[in-house]
Amino acid sequence: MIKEAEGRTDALSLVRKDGGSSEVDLSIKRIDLGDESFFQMIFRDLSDQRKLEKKIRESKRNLEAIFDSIRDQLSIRAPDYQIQRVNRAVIEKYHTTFEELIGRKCYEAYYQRDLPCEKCPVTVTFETKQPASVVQKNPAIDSTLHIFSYPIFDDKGDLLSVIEYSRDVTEEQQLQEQLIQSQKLAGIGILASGVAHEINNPLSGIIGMAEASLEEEDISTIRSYLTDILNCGQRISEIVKGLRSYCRIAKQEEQNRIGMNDVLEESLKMVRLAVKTSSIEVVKQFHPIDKVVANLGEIQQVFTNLITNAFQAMDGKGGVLTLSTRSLRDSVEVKVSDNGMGIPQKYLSQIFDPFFTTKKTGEGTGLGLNIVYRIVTKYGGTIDVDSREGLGTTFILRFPIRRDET
Amino acid sequence: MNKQVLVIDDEETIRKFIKIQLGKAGYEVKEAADGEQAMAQLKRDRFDVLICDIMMPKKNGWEVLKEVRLNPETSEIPVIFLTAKNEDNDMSKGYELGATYYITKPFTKSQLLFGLNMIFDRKKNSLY
Repeated sequence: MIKEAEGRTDALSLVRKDGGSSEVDLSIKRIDLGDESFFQMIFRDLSDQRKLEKKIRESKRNLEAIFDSIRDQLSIRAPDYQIQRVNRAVIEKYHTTFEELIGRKCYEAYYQRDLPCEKCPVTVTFETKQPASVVQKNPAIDSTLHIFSYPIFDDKGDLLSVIEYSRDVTEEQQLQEQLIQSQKLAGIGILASGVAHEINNPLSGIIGMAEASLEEEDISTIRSYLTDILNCGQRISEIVKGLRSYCRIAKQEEQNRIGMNDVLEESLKMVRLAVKTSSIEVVKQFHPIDKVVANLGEIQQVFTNLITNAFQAMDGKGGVLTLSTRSLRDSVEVKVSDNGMGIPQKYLSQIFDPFFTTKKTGEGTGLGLNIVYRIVTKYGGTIDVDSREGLGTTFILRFPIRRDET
Repeated sequence: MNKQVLVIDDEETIRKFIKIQLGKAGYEVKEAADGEQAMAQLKRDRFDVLICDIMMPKKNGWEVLKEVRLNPETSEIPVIFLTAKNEDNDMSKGYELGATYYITKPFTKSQLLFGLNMIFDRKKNSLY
């Protein structure tokens, strides 16, 4: 270097006086002063800089390790939907490579589409600069994903890119559907034993009066016995008719425009069959209301659960069950109200939790209200409870209506 | 004197045919359509056996049985439960509360007479 008179070198290891070594960079400059030439040599200790660089490298590696070790899928999008970066989970989920994905538009790479997906939360975040989320199916990988998006801003506060975080909730959704199904089956079990009771009574009458007829000679007495048999038979046929309407289990996916007043009426009939309670008066305050788009079976499940609870809350003493409906500005309100034992204040925060029950083993699964909650919120509805111990409980349900579809 | 039977059931046809059949078998039958009526009858008349439904309005079979067993004047009366609830834990609950016999609906005349015969033969054959 000295031969060439000028130059620079870095990462030169020098032994210090104390025996340790320091990494330095050295720059040499030739300075000509008349006939004489000098060399200016500057040693710069690099220890601090090296330490800093090491720290930055480590922290980068840490972040990358964290990014990659997250089992949910993370990716960073440019404002034109280009995938800037993805974690390992994305690669594994889509059986692809980093090279295949980086730089491509997300809707092409993940959904084989030409345009951004309709409900894409990333679009929402680009437009609103706010976090967004959506649950959607991706048929390409046969999964249901819960997708969240969060904005990343630059120093000036402009939107730089968006983090998309997506969690596979396929299994969760399947479990939830199974839960709803199993609670429905439990409900059918209760119904079946209630129906058995309702049918066994007139059936006893039929068998008993038929036996009596066989032993009877007098034709007019026999005729009166036969009338009893006929009446009992007709009652059984009414019960079976009621059952049929309940068992018309609509397919899970099927959604129709539902008149809540009719469904309340039908559900009440079914619960009356299943739960025989002492003297309960039913007050109906039905108003003309808009139809709600939903799955009939699920709405029936909501009402039969609430009415059954109301009946059970009033068991023993009797009481008044009030069912009311009315139209609000952009929703339909349904109230199921009893004047039974009420829910103790300390339980109110837990009543919608799965498996929470105050009923005896075998009488309640603790799933009823949880299912009600899930179904109501699934349709964008709300459920509130107003309960006073010893005075009664009112459940207030509100279902949004879409007027544009009327 | 004929044995006095009180049939407690909210199902009219059931009361009717029990009355017909037990009448033929030599029993004297009175009826009550619910638990409260039954308690009123029990205050008025003396009965040798009660045939009692479980699921009834106003006062159910369990409550009738409890009251009957608690009152010294009626505590010894045999009670036959008639029920449409054909479940094991109902049956054992019935016996725990002091039911004498248990018949599930639907039932025939012979099941009913078998129960009654068992109760009264047992009484006849007992040592005291």
